[in-house]
Amino acid sequence: MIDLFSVSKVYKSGGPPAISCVNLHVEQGEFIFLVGPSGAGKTTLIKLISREELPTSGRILFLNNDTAAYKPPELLRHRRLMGMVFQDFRLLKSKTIYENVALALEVTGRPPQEIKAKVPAVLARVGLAGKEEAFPSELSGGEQQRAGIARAIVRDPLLILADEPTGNVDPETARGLMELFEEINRGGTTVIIATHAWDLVERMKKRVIALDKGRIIKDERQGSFNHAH
Amino acid sequence: MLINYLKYCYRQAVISLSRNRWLALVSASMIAVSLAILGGFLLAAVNANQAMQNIQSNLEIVVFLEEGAEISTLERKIEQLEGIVHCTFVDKHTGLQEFGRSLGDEALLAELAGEHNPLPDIFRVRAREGELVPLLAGQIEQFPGVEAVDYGRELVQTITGISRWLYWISVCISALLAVGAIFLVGTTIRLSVVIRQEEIGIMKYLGASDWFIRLPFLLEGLTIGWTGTLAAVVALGLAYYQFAALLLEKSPLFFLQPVTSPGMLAAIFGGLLLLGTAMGGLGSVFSIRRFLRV
Ligand SMILES: Nc1ncnc2c1ncn2[C@@H]1O[C@H](COP(=O)(O)OP(=O)(O)O)[C@@H](O)[C@H]1O
Ligand SMILES: [Mg+2]
Repeated sequence: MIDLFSVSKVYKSGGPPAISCVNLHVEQGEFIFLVGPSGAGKTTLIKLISREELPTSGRILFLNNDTAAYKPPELLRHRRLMGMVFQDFRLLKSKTIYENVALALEVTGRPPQEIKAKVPAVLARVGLAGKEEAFPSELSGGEQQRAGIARAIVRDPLLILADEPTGNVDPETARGLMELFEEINRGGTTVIIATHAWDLVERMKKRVIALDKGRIIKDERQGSFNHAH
Repeated sequence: MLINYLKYCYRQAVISLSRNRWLALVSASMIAVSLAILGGFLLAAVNANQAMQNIQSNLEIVVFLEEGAEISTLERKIEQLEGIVHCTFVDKHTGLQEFGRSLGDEALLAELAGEHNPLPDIFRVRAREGELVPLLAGQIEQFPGVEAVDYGRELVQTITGISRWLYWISVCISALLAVGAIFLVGTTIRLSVVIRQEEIGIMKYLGASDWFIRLPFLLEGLTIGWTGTLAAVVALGLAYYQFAALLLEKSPLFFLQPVTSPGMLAAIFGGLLLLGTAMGGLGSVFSIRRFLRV
C-alpha cells in the first residue's frame, strides 16, 4: 500500500536531514506505531506519507503511484483516501461536533441524506452518541479526540494517520483511544500512529518502527498482523 | 452533487457576510454609489443626446442665394440630396413680409420693400434626421449660386461639447469610485479569508478541492456586487421614472422629451448589472489570489 525507497527529507538545505534514507513497506490493514524521541522525524514521516511534504530525494509510492508525480486530481484522491488525526484535535470551535464530522463529507460533495445517516452512526461508533449538538469546548480532551477520529473515519478511508493522538489526554483516556484505533483497524483500515506513549505501545503488540535522528533504528512486528484484508 | 455544493457555497457566503456585515455593507454602498453616478450620467447623456436630435431635426437649413442664382436648378439639386424632407423657396419679398410679421408690425419694414429690399432669396430646407443637418448644410454650401447656409451651428456645437465633457467627467468619477469599491470588496473578502483560515486548512486535509474552498469567497464578493447594483438600479429607476413622468406631463420645451425606449433603458441597467457583478467578482478574485493559499 505504501512504499518508501531511500527517502530523505531536508528542510533547510545544508541542514541535517529530518528523515534520512528511509526504506519502508506498509501492507493494507497493518497497525503501525512510529516511536522515537522528540525530533526523531516522526511528524516528518507522517507528512511525507500524507504528502503534505515532498521528499528531497527518494520515492514514495501510495497504491503504486509516485506521490511526487501527482496531478491535482490525484492529490485530491490521495487526501480523500486518508483520514488525519492530530494531537490538538483541530476541530472547528464554532461548529458543533455533528458539523465538524459532516464537513468531511461535505467537502467531497456527498448528498445530505448520506450525511444525515452517516454522521450519527459514526459518532455512535466512537462513543459520542448524544453529543451531536455539543461544541468542542463542551467536551473533554478524550471526547474531542474521539470526534476527531470520527471525522477521520466517516469516509471509510484506507489509511488513518495519527500524529501523537494521545499527546493531550491522560493515560486512562489514551488507552481508550488506542482501543478505538484497534477497533477501526479490525475493519481493515491501515493505521499509522506516531507516539511516545511507550507503555501503551509495549502492551499493544503491534508493528513498531523506531526512529532516531531521521533513521529507522528498529522495525519489529510484536503482535499478530491481521491478514484478513 | 452540484446542487449540494452550490447550497454549501451559498451557506458559507451568507455566514461570512453576516460576520463581516458592516464592511460588506460599506462595500456594497460604495458599489451602489459609483454605479448610481455612472448610471445617472448615462441617463442624462442619452437624454441630452435625444434633446439635441430633437433640436437638430427641427432646425431648418437656411440657404441664402446669390443675386441671380438659378433657382429651379438649385431646387432640383437640393431635393435630389439624400435625406431632404422638403425644400421651400422663399423670395426676398415674402421673406421681408415674414420678418415684419415676426417683429409684430408688417408696416414697419414697408419702406424697405421693392428695390431696396436688403434680404436675399432663400430656401428653407428640412432634413429627415438631425444628424444629417451639418452634412447636408456643408454639401449645399458648395452649390453654385449659394451665398451661405445657416442652421444654428453654434447651439448644436455647444450642446455637443457640454455633453461630451459631462460624459468624460462622469466616467472618470465613476471609475475612481469603482476602483475604491473593488478595493473595499477585496478587503471584505480578505477578512473573510483570514477569519476562516483554520477552517480552510482543515478542509484541505479533508480533501476539499481548490474550487470548493474558493467558490464561497467568490460568491461572497458577487453577492456584495449584486446588492450594490440592486440598490443603485432601484434608486436610479425610481428617480428616472419620476423625472420621465414629469417631463412627459409638462415639458417646458418641445425638444425636452425623456428617453423611454425599453431597449435603451435595458441596455443601461443591464450594463450597470454587469459592472456591479464585475466589481464584486474582481474584488474577490483579487483577494482570493493574494491571500488564499490552497
Ligand atoms: N517545517 C520545518 N522546517 C524546518 N525544520 C523542521 C520542520 N519540521 C521539522 N523540522 C525539523 O526536522 C526534525 C524532525 O522533526 P519532526 O519530524 O517534527 O520530529 P518528531 O515529530 O519526531 O518530533 C527536527 O530536527 C525538526 O526541528
Ligand atoms: Mg512530532
